Amino acid sequence: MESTERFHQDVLVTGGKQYSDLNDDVAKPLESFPTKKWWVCFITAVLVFAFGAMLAANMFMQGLGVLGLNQPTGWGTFIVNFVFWVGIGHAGTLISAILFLFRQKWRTAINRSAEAMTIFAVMTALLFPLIHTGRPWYAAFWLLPYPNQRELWVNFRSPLLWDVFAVSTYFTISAIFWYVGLIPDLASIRDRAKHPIRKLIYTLLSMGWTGSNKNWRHYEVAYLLFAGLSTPLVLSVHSVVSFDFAVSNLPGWHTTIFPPYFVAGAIFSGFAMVVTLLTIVREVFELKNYITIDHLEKMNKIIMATGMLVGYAYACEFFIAWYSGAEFERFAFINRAFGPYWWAYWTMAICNVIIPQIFWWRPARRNIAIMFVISLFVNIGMWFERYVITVTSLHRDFIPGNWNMYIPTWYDWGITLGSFGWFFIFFLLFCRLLPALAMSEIKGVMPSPKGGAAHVE
Amino acid sequence: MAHQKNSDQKKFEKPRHWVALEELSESYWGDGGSQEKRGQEFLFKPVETIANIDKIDSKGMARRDFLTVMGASMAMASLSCARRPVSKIIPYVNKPEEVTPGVPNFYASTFVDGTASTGILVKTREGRPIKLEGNPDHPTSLGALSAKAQGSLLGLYDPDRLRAPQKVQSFRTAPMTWSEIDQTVVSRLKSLAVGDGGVRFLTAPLVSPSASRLTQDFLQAFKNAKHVEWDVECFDDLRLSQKDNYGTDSIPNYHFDRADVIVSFGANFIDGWLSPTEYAKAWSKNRKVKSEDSAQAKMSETYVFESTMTPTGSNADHRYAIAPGDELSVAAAVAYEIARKAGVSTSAFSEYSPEAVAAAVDGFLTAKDIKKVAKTLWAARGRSLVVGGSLNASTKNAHALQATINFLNSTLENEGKTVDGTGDVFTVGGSSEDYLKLKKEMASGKVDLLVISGLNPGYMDPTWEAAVAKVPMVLVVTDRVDETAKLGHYVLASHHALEAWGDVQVRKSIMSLVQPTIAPLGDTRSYEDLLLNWASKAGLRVGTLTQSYLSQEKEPTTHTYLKYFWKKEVYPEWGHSEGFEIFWENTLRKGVANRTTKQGVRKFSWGRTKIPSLKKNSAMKLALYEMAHYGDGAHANNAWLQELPDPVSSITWDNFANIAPSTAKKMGIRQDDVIEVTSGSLRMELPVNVQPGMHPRTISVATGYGRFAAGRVGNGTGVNVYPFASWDEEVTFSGREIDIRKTGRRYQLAAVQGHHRTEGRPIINDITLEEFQNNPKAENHTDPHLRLKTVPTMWTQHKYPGYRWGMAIDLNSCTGCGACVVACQAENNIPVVGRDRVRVGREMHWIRVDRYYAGSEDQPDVVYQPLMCQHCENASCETVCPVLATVHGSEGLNEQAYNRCVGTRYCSNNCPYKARRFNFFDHWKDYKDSMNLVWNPDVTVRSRGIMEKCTFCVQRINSAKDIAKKDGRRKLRDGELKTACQQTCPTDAITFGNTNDANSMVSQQKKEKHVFHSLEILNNLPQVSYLTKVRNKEEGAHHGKH
Repeated sequence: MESTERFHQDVLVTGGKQYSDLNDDVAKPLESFPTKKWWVCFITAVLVFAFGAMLAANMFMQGLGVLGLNQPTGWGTFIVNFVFWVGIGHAGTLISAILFLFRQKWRTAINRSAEAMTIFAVMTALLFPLIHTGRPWYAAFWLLPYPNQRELWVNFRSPLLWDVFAVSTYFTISAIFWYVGLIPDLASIRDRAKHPIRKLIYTLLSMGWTGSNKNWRHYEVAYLLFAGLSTPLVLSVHSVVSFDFAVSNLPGWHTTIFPPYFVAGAIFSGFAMVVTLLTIVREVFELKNYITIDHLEKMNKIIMATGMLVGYAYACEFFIAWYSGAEFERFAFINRAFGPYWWAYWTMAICNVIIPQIFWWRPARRNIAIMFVISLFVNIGMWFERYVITVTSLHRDFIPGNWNMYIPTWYDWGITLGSFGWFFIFFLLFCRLLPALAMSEIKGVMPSPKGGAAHVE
Repeated sequence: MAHQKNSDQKKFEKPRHWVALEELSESYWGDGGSQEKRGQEFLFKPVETIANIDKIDSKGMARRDFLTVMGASMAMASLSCARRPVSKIIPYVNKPEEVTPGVPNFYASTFVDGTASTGILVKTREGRPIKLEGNPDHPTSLGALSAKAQGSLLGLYDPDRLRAPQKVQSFRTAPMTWSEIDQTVVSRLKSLAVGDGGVRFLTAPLVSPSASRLTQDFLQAFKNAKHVEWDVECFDDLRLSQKDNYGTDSIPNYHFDRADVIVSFGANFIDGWLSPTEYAKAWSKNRKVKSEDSAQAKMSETYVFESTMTPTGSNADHRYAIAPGDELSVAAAVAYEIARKAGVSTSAFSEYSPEAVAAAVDGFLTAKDIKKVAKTLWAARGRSLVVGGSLNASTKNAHALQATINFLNSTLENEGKTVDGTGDVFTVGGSSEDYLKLKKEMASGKVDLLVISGLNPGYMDPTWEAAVAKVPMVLVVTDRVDETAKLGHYVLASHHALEAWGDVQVRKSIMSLVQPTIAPLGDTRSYEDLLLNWASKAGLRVGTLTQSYLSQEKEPTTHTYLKYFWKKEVYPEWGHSEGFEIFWENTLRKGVANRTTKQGVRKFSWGRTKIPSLKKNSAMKLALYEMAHYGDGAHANNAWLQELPDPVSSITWDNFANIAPSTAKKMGIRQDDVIEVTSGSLRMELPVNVQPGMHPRTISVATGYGRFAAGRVGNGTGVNVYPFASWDEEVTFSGREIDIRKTGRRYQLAAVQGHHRTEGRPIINDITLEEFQNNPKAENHTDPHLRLKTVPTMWTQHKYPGYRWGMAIDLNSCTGCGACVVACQAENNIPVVGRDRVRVGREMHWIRVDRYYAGSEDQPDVVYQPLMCQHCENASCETVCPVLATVHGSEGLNEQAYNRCVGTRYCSNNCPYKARRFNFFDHWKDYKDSMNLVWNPDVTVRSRGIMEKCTFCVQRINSAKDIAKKDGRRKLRDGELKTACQQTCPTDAITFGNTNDANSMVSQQKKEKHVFHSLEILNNLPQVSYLTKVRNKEEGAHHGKH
């Protein structure tokens, strides 16, 4: 009981901030002209995206042959990117839904931006399954079960179709959940707005929020419901994404461990991305008092825990490959670690399993520079995890006569880079246009002006 | 307009471009009214308007002109933006009687390729040939066709073929008309006919009796005339040694089907030697085993000694790598042993004891091996066959080798049994001695007119250029401006064989016709056309037959000449007094006339042959060889053949230096390293293929590459190695001593298969004959862990009330030749992707032949496995396609709906065989101009972004059903329907049919105990079954250790 008590007394906002300070601090970037730093970031993001888009346009004109794909490697960086970005998109909903249900109050400082990141990551991820198809102009709608005169139907047995449903559902629910959470804060921004157009926009967005008791009651119930709805989705999306691999019969893909393994990996990479982004955001927008070292430390603990889960999965795969006695499986894993793509495998293992171990050391967990670097390593490691799974399993499959190497071309790399541009365009716009912190929720965990408990208690 | 009128009144100027004659008259351009009457869109054509603008002085543009120009430019701009050209399908106004749109016509003809000429059926659709098939009535084809012959179809539509005759001036060509050429040539011929100027014809060995006679007759008009026949592979060593040892001046025919033991010294008889399609079939007859009564199963035993790995060597039961030139040593050692056993004098080769030879050849060959060969041969006296000679055995020892082989065949009593030297012998000539003489004459200025046909010495022979420069008039009959044509004076554009009339006699018993199946695509003439035309126009006093033909024919054509020749010369001997017209019609329909010949026994004598003394050699040697599908480079511009992988190395688009793994290791050379090969002043650089089964002191390189005037496809592929042949005292191709050196550079060869071992995987199965006799069941010879146990299923199985298509492939017969690959390519509109895309693994072939090595890298065993879509019962691809583009058909086919496919490539990822092919680009756009005529209209041409794969030739299934329906039958007969790969297979390795019918051929095959399925353990239940490869050798088989 005592520890719980102590936890409740955790100082989640530092610097002696008051409610009004919070509103001022969060609304500041929204109410002032963007800084030079922001413009530099934004223009870079646009240029990077434009570069990727240009390459993609050229790819649409010529054909997928500009990529490094071949026989037998039918999937390459695009699928890697898809899984990577969907994985990134896991942290937000986990933080806002699961941690909400578990009453983890520290989530309030990070949930808004983490959720925003989720939505943009899923938007980025959704680009790839489309552009990786040979005929995206048909794939865009033939993959949906729409009624048509030709009585053509989709194949409900195909994991790719499950993907379509899983990811689109996840995107819809996450977006609504996020938006519902935004409403009280949008109303605060509205109330502060001076310019009539600005006022109009935020008025429309805040949907007539008055802050009445009735408003709050509906809001709380809706928020709880969406949290309940989102929670299974956090687990299901990446499980379904992993079915793309697990349901096939390719050695290295065809394993039952994939769903939990993918979910753990997704949370791992998602948290790493949140840390990467927040260490920057709290610096740039001066939100250090709200996103404190304590917050970041908690996330670093989760990174370490999920990193070890992932490490366990890596070990387990090898064990089962040996223990099952399945020849092809055994070869696939030996090839993974010691074949021509050994460097990718060991990049993955070192970045994901070894490097996060530094977080056992408390000062490292609380050091911004260290955690920033580690989170980058984890991002890299998790990208390579998907690369290893996709490419090393495909490039040496059943019949040795088919074997070939997969070498990504600069179209692969350029479009991958472009996807980061696309993601950051949205994220930077988000930081400028919407409150990056959940003001109303933080107020709930701040000491009230009279020194009492917050109103949610 | 006023301005225009004014200028008109000034002076009438004829327009620079005009459409009709009246435009050249002034009245036409007169008044505006008549212009409107013409209904032109513009009163003034843009071209003329622009011309007028140019004439306007600098004061500026008149308003009306500005508007006119603007209108015209807008019209032109919108024209160029037109989305697609409108194409219309126009029905026949007067339908030719024999052409029904959509229904193919077949014409019997002959594929002309020296001794390998073979009967074909040409499938034409709406007047254009779209597929070649073997003529089942033709004895050298028996329905099969080689890869090269299959590919020759694309040569017809080669856009780089000449459309008109050319004149050559300093290596550049300019088109001419035939009348201009005729004039020049005829006047020259007239003057030569009265003088004694040298007239020389240099042709590839003529297999056409009518062309041969025409050439002789034509040359009779000149006092100093000679016809020289030669080709790089004309087997004159074989023919001359027959003359020497038996007194018969012809190449004998060999009966591989009658031989229980076959020994080959370099002869690639399965894939490239003499009549390979026929010989492969004959050889395979004794290779097929049945598991029923397996204890009594018998197979022929094949021994091959060769200096490069050929399909024959890789299919042999015992293969020994030797250096080029050592063929003689080994043959003599075998002869030494045989002579001792037969009690014949060994004096001719007394030095060649097996021990001495084994020491001298210093390879992997031991005296014991040689003795074993001799023992096996001796035991099979009269039922054995020894053959030898090919480019790779064409050394200074070639004649002695042939004599030794003749000695062996005679001593082993094969003469008159497996060797037919008197009856059905080959009728082709060809002599490198004559060729060398001709070159000397040319060089000394004794030749005044040279006509070259069907041969490209300018490419092959490095000494040709100097010799031909002395000839005042060189006429080259060829279909393109090739290397020889560039060194000549006039290029006489010739027909493709599918556009021409002709006849072919390969052997004494076979006479076949060549008939045109399409009107010539260009303004071309055949060789016979030319001679007949010139003889007639120049009024030459030619030989009697041609003279009498010309006297009755005012406008000579090859067709009428051919018919005349056949009436006078062929019908009396080959006809059965049915009347010439009936005989002609029948032969034309059937494609071939046959007669019987008598096989006799000849007596061997050494004649002038002397066996040189045994030499131990320690130098690195070069062996040249021909890839059977590619040949001497004549087909270099054929993209199908360029992209067909070499069966052994699996490399496309280039030639390369084959080097033994041990030598490579010693010199630090890896695959794709570039090495420099030098010999005296000769030097070349070649990428390396580390080839298991090479002699450590041998580098072998394929000929026919490195052409610079082959065309857009063939130029710049590989390196020309002919300069490394010997061209001075005698023409020999192999055995040159060379030095090799690493250059440090690398060149990526485009291999379709990057990995050569099976990694112990249950993909193929090979056992020895003894194992087969003891227990043929396939599962007894694979790892039990990899066998499929009975698996319970929760799904209802597919039901096939009607047909259910299945295939069986006999790995024991498959020689890896690749004919099926090209046949499939032609039948199914499979695009060519080019070298760079093969390098990254994007070849499109629906059927591929995987090659696996087993055993040691010095003396590997080889297994070939044709692999296409396995049409699995539990198809992995079908479940994962999100849009149901690939589904299971009601007759067991795994069907691919191209129009529905969005290209996720998931099906391919999930296919354990990787039998699917993805269109990364719009490959069909690479087919230029006339090449687009080659598409099979029954098969969709696929766009980019979609997946494709073997369909079991579904279009053939449907057309066969149509025919059956029309005939009032409810069911197809077994064997009535053949897939393209099955149809062309020279060894009948592929069987296809209805597996619902227990009596069908394919069901019978599938019942064999030695049937296995590739990757059976995955429970995909493939509908393609394989029959285990059985080797007639003693050692334990290599399963599990590939």
